[in-house]
Amino acid sequence: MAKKGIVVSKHKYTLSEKLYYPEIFKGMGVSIRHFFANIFKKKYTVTLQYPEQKESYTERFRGKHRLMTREDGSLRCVACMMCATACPAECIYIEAEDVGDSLVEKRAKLFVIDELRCIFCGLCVEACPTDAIRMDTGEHVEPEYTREAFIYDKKKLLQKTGRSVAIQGGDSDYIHKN
Amino acid sequence: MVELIIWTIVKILFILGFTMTLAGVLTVVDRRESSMIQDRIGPNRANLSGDVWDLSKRWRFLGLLHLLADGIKMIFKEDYSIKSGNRWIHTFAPVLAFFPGLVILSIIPFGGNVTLFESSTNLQIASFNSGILLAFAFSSIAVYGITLAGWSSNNKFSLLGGVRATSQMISYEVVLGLTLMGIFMIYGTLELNAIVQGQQALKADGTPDLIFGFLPKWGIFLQPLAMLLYVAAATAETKRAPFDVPEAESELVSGFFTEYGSMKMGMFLFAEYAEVVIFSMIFTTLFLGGYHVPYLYDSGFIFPFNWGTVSMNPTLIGFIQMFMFLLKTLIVAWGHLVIRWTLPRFRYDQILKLGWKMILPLALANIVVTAIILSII
Repeated sequence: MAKKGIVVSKHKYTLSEKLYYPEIFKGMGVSIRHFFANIFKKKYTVTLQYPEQKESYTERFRGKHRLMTREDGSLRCVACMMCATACPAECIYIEAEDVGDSLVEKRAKLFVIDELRCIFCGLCVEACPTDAIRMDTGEHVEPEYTREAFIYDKKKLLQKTGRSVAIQGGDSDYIHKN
Repeated sequence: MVELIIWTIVKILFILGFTMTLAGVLTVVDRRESSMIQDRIGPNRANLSGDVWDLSKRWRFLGLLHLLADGIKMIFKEDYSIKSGNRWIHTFAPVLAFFPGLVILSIIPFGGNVTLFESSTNLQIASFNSGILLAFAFSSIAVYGITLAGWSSNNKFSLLGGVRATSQMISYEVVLGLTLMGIFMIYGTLELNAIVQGQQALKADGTPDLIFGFLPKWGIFLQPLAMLLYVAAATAETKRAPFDVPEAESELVSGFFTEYGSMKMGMFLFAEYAEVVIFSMIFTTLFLGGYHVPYLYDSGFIFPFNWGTVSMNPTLIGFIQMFMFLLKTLIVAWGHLVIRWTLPRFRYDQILKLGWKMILPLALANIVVTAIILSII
C-alpha cells in the first residue's frame, strides 16, 4: 500500500500581511524597542567586554599548578616522586636533597613542570600524599614568547602559593581509628 | 554681487560640510545602531588614549573614532587597479556614482530667510522653478557610475550587480516621480522652497491655515499614501536593504564594487550614506514641512485654538528653522537605518513586481484621487 503524503497547509496571508506596511511598522517597532532598551540600559545585551571583564572558571577547573607551603613557610613537598610517577605526560622533574630532619628526611631541590607537556589531567594532585601540589589557581597558563619560558621552576610555582593545613603524612588519628 | 557670491560660498560650505559629516558619522552610527537592534554592543574599541587597562579611562567617544580609523585604513590600503577590463572607467566610476548626490544638495532649502551683517538671504543655494526635476535627473545619472563600475571590472558578479542596479533604479525612477505628483498638484509648484512655504501657508486674513485647526499642512498629513510609497521607492533608489540586490553580499560577493579596494571602495560606501542623507533631506522638505517649525511663522509663534501668539526676532526664527531642518533630517536618517536593519532583502523579481505592479498603480490611483479632491475643493 502506498504511503499517504503529509498535507502541509499553506500559510494564508491576512490583509495586514498582504498590505506589507502594517507588518513593516510592527517589525520596526520591535527594532526600535530593542534599540532604546539596549542603548540606555543594555537590557538584552549579554556581551562580555573581554579584556576588561572576564568570566571566572568553575571551582573544579584544573588550571596552572602551584606548590603549597607549611606553617613555617617551607615547601610541603617531600620529593616522594609520586606525582612524577603518576604523570602520564612525564612533565614533572624533581631532584631531591637531604633535609637532616628525622620527620621529613627529604625535600625537593628542584621542582620543574613543563607546562607545554602537561595535559592538565590532575593525576599529580591526586597522587600527592602531602597536599603539596594543587591545580586550583583558576588561571590557565599564560602565553610566552619562548618554549623555555613555559618550563616553570620552583620560584614560579610558588608565586601563587598558599598555606596548607593538612597534617603531613596523612591524618594519623584517622588511621588509628579505622 | 559680491554679497551673493560670498553667501553662496558660505551656504555651499555649510550644507556640504553638514552632509559629509553626517554621512561619515552615519557609517559608524549604522554599525552601532544595528548592534543595538541585534542585542550586540558594536564597535567601541578605537580610542585616543592608547591601551590604558582601565576601561573607564579610555577615550572612546562612543565608538565614533572608528570613523577616523576606517578613513585612515582606507586611505593607506593598497590602491588596487585591475589588469583586465577598462582601467580608466574603473577609476572614474566611483566619482560618477558619488557626485550626482552632491549636486542635488544645491536645490534643498535648509532654512528660511536669514539676516546677518545687514545682508539677508534665503538658505538655499539655487532656486529655480524646475526644482525637484534636477534631483530626479541627477539621481538617474548616479546609475551610470554603478553600471560602469560593474561593467569595467571584468567580473561576472560585478556585471550582475551593475545590471541589477540598472534595472532596479530605472524602474523605480518612474515610480519615484509619480509618487510625488500629488505633492506637486497640492502645492502647485516644483520648486522646493515654494513647497516648504506652501506647507506653512497663512490664510488671506493672516491666520494660519491648519488641517482640523491644529495640524500643519505638511505633506505627510495631506498625502500619507504618497509618503509610504515614496519611502519605498526612495529606499530602492538608495540601493539599501531591503532593496540591496545590486550589492547582495550573500549572492554577489559585493555586487558592483567587488573589484574595488581602498578609497575607491570607500567612495562607493560613502556615496551610499550620502544618498541616505540626501534622501532624508528631500523627504523632510516634501513631507515634513522642510525647515518649518509647527506654528512658527514669519512673525513668531501663532498657536492654534487661540492660545495666543509669541513674536520673535526674524533672524532668530531663521536659525531656529535651520536647526529644525537639520534635526528633522537626522531623525529621518535614523528611521531609514531602522528600516534597513528590520527588513530582509527582497528577491530580485519581487523588487520589480513591487515597483511595477503595486507601487505604480497605487501612485496613479493616488494622483487620480488627489486630482478629484482638488477639483471639488
